[in-house]
Amino acid sequence: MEECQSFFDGYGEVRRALLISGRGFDPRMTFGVKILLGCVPKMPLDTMLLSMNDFESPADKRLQKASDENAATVRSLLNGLGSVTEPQVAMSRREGAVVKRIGARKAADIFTFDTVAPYTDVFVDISALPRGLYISLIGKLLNILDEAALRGEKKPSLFVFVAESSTLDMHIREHLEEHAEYVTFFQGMMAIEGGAQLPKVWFPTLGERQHAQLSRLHEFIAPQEICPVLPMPSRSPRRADNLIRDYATLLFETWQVSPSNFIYVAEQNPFEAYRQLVKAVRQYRLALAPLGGSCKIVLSTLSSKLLSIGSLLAAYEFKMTDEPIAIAHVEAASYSLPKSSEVCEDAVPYLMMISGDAYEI
Amino acid sequence: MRSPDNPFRLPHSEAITSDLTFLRLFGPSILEALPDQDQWRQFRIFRSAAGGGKTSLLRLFSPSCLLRLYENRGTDDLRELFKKLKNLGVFEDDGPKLLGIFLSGVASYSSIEDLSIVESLKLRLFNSMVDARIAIGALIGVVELAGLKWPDDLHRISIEFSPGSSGTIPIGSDGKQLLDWAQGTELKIWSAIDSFSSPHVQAEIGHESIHMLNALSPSSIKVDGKEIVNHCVVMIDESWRLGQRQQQALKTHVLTTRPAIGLWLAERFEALDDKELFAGSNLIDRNVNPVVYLDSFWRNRKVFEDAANKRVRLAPNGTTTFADILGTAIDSSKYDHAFARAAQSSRNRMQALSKGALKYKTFLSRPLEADLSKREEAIELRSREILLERDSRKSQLSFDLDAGSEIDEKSTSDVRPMAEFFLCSETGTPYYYGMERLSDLASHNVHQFMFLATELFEEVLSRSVTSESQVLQPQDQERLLRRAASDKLSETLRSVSRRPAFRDFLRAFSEFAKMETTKPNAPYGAVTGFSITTEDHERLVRARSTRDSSGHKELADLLAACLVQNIFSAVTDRKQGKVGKTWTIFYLNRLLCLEMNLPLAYGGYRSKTLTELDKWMRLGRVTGTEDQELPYEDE
Repeated sequence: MEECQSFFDGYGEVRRALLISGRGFDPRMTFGVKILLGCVPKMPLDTMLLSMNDFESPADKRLQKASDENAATVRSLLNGLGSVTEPQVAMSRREGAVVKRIGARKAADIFTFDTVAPYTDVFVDISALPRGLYISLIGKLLNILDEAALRGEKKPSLFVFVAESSTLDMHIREHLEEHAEYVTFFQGMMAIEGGAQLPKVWFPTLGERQHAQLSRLHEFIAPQEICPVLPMPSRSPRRADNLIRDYATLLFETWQVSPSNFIYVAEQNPFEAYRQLVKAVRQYRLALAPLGGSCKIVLSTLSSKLLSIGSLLAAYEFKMTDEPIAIAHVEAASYSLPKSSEVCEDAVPYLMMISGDAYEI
Repeated sequence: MRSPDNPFRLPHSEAITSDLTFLRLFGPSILEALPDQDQWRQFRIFRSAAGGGKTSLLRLFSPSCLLRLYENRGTDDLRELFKKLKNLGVFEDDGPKLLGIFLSGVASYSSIEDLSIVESLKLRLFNSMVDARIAIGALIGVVELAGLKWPDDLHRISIEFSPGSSGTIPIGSDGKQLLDWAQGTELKIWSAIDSFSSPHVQAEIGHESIHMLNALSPSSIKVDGKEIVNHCVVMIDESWRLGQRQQQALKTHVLTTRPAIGLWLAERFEALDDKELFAGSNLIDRNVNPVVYLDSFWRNRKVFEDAANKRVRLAPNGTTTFADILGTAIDSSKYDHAFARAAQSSRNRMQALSKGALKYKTFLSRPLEADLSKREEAIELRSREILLERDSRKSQLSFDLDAGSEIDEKSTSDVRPMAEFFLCSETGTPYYYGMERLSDLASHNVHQFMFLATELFEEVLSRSVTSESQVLQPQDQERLLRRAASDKLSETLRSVSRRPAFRDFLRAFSEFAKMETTKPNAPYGAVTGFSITTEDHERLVRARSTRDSSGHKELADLLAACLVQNIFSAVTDRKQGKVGKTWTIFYLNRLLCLEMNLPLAYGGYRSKTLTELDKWMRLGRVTGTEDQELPYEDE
């Protein structure tokens, strides 16, 4: 909080800001507003709470109630400082017995340059947004801003906010979709038949208790090479070792991963993760080029939302340079809520500027 | 890549990167699932639940696999597979004669449906995408089969198109020009799909219909002017991931135009519309004859044993057959005392039940066969007890306790399986062990079988380190299988939405099944399923198609999810009772039978109304009974 305050003290005037958040049950949903208003109390702040409607897996009453309470809290915190809208996002579409996830594209479709142009700063609070959705959404926003810059138009700065709480993450149960898929806008060239013969290299960022996701992702991607990404340094110095121990059978016995393939990234620094991933991807492409082409790269983020921003930035950079790489994930079809919200007392907020003055040369 | 120490940990066959390893693990007996005649020109749909072997079957016919097989046709482990495929016309003496075009990335087709473009253009783009991908797949396959160099030799390939519309496909071009067209078309459509901005798609690249399926024929594909294959088949795996309109368009196109090459689709049950989903393996689509149900093929236990043996041979510990590690002898020194006690209890109960009636005198004094083990003796007595229970109930109903009885003539063989189950339950002795029961536990699903076999073989490998016996005793097998079943079910339940409803429904079913199965006279044998009338089945199908949550929609959704997750399997149109009365039977996955301590036999079920099933889902118990502690309590 102090670091946030110190950042805004030196940042200059935030004339008009837009906060994009999920209208969700996660108690961290209100943290973004609280912290922003705590740092800049009089900030004119319009808020868009993306209301995710899933007709196929409707949230139970308890989750619905928690969402309503969180939305009410946000409204009361803002108290006239700006407008609060709740755009509806259809999360799924049924095709016969198959349910297709469409939320990411629907959410991204809400935003054009006109949506963000009136603002000096745009904050995306991903604390209550599903992974597949916010990766596509932030990618779309980055693209809107980059295209505006190319046209020479003035563009707002883009920030990502996330409140990390490993305790709460452990309590929230995700009921997974049966199938993995590529994230909207980040499908790389995976489905291109013309490149079907190219080897696939997979960079899964490992997190705790993700055996089912990992297995489904592996089955879906069918990679020839796997480079697990591990958190090191981390707050718990043993975390990387523990992850290796937990996944030992899968990594070494089933997938035959060589320990020399491990990539270590700082647990709390998504920019470091971005740098490491970009470097590794470039290295693989260079090394495999003499074998008659390149390779297909897939990232997966099974760790914190914070680290997932590193994967997003890496994937976005390659997409923009016409060397697209994919992000694969297994979406959660529904969630279970912990009985007490006290479990998020250890939540640590992170604010990252991913587009704006700091990046102007 | 070296093989893992436990070969059962190898990824399931389609994820194995080495074609040779894949071929070595491929069980040739599944080829019997292919219809005998003329399959190469037919439209086939291979259907099964997940893990039914669809992808493996399609992969076998890819050019790279066929070439590896041809190169290694003389080796012991591939000779049989080669011979079977040769009989199907896949090989001639000089090599493969089938061009299998395997299309991947199917999920991407359905992304076209999400684009913000006019509806008619979506279907045209789908047609173009299919054309482009078939063209690319065909060229890759021909280059492999003909031993050409990619992409330098593409100009040596020609595809002579039949007269007629060909959309934007460059007719009369060589392989290089065809590839350029196909890659360009694919990339344009793909760029629109993966673009951040609103897609700008040139309408001209769309095709009115799919042309490549009709353009290709074995005689139209030439290298240096010569035909190279006798058959050609396009294979689309995971076709259930196509949009519904796309699936319909594809099937309609093939059925109406009857191309000269085959089209094979691999579908999971969830791809089907709801009526088909509930219909299970006895549904025959009259327009598609025949649909191949791979699940029914796995009902042959021998197929599992073959698959296991192929993996065992890759292991470093020298085991030759999987059955070698599965001990079947019950440790008499450990359990004979319990069997003797159970036998005496049976005798006592029979004495009490007969109430000294004269008509049972002969039956009760029927001698036991000589040289029976204590276990066999106890099973025989328990079998007689079941017969006595049945007979005494019948006598009570007829109020004719002293009339002559037919029981003296009855053999115990019919009730022996239930007697064995009762005995094992009462004495706490192993029941779930041996190759036969392991195959039953697979529930006609090869992935499930491999999962269980992995756990058993892991223990064997651990023992080889400590020089212990590598034969797993029945009690060890049961312990390991129970642990594996528990893990698997926790994983399944974790992944389903509406988990409480699932859990409650299963809890109630478990209570119901145990109640019916453990009746002393075992009137229905092992009850491991329930049935609903065909009329109720149709009500569920109608409920599924509505968004109205009233009626039985929630139940219909839950049962559909159970079928998709392979928690239950359905058999429809089973005749029973009044003439013309038909039923749909839902059988529990056999792995869940283990978790619920139920026998593994099929055939036992009881009819239920939708209202009763609704109560199971909502209350988590059979109405009118008390809660029971079950092994899958919520975490």
